[in-house]
Amino acid sequence: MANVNIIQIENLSKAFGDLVILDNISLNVKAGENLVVFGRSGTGKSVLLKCIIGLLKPDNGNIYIKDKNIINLKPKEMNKIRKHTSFLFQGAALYDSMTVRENLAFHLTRNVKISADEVEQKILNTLDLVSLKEAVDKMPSELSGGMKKRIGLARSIITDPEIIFYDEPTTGLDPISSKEISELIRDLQKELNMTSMIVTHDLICANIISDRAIFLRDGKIAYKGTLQELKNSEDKFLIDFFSKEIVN
Amino acid sequence: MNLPHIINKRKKTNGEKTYNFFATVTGLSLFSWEFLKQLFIPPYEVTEIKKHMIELGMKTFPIVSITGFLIGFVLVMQSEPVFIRFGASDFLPGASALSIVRELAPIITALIFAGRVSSGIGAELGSMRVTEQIDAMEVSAINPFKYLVVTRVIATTMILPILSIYVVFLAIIGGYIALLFSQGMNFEYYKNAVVASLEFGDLIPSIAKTFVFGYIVGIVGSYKGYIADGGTEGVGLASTTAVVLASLIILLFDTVLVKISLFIWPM
Repeated sequence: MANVNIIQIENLSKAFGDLVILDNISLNVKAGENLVVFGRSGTGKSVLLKCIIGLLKPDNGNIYIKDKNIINLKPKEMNKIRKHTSFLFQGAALYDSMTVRENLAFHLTRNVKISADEVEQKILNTLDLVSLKEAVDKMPSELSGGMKKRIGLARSIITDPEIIFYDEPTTGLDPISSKEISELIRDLQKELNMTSMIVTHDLICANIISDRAIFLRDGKIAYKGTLQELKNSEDKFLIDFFSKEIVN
Repeated sequence: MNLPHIINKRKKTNGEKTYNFFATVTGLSLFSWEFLKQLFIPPYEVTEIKKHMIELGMKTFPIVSITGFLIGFVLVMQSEPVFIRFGASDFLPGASALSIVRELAPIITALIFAGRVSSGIGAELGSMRVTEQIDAMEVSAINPFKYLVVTRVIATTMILPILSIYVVFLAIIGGYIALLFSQGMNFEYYKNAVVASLEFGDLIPSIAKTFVFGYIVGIVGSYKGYIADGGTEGVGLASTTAVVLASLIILLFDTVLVKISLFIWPM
């Protein structure tokens, strides 16, 4: 694992009205690392990801992606950064009006100069990675929740991003599908050597994926370390959180 | 693009309603400005525009066909006794054609188009917004405004004048059929009376204003869908408010455009 910080967050704050979601957060993510972001619902995990990717504008602080401060970047400049990143949404966010092939081709053809034959080959190869080659001509409405997540994942990795953000990649899936998706994410990360930031509540997923974890609480990073360190912590809140997660 | 937030709750105070009114006016103006800014920036998404033109045109084609024919038919049926009462039945073909061309065909086509298309765009983009499909485009370095909004607004602006001209013809034929039933009127006589009554100054402003109406349908539907929030309820709200707002703005602009056209081309 390279020891270079690919994402650096300095004193990041975000509030919606009077409600402070992120309060002066600082964080570094190393290249090739899988960082899991834990926290109770509504603690700002997704907001953190959306600030990093530029979907939400922070109130204060700086965010550096590959040493470039993305705060106040013009859309054109931001899009240059986004060509190296990818985002898997909680609900996969597949385009309803497009087939699986079109969903994958849409991102690929608009970001990479590539021939039609290469596009087709890349789509089939990527679908093969997520074991859903047979779904290439299906519409999103014909796919199950697990299949949608896999296709969403395929769409996220088809452009060979350096950094990938996962917003609750296993939410709503049964434990077996959840484990399969998590293993897939881990295998893809190893194969493609991507940096990942994963927001999740799912301990099975975190166990499989994480190199390092942080825990958001009251808008701050309350705990950080390896998952094992967090689980072994004697802090009552963490003991409570992880024991409840295991029971659930 | 930072658009003013609209308060979406069931019971709003008068202050919140007033705020929403000004937020909508401001939001729609900023949205229109963004459209104008992005209109000339590549990529031009010609395939997407063509696709929307065909889809939206086909979607509205059956309803405007029926309505177009019936406008002319009913207008002549209703007007005939009045014209006879005033001893002016010879003027009926020309007068009805003038009403159809100058006002009825453009405004009724626009209102039907708003009902069918504005709500459809509002629901489609609203659904994409709440299911994060628009965000998915944005984070993938694709400009969702260009791809989703600009293409649809161009399509509605281009297709409504075509539909409106089609409705003019159908309504005039509807008028003839009504006169054929009631008076057994000769088509040649009807055609000559209609052509003699129409002038250049009647056709141009009526077609020109349908471009404006088409733009309003597209921009209002897109705006309402683009800012939708609050899940499925938000999508429904985007769809219904798009129709109401588009229809209202069309009627307001019609008043202004009629005044301007009468100033430029006095009768």
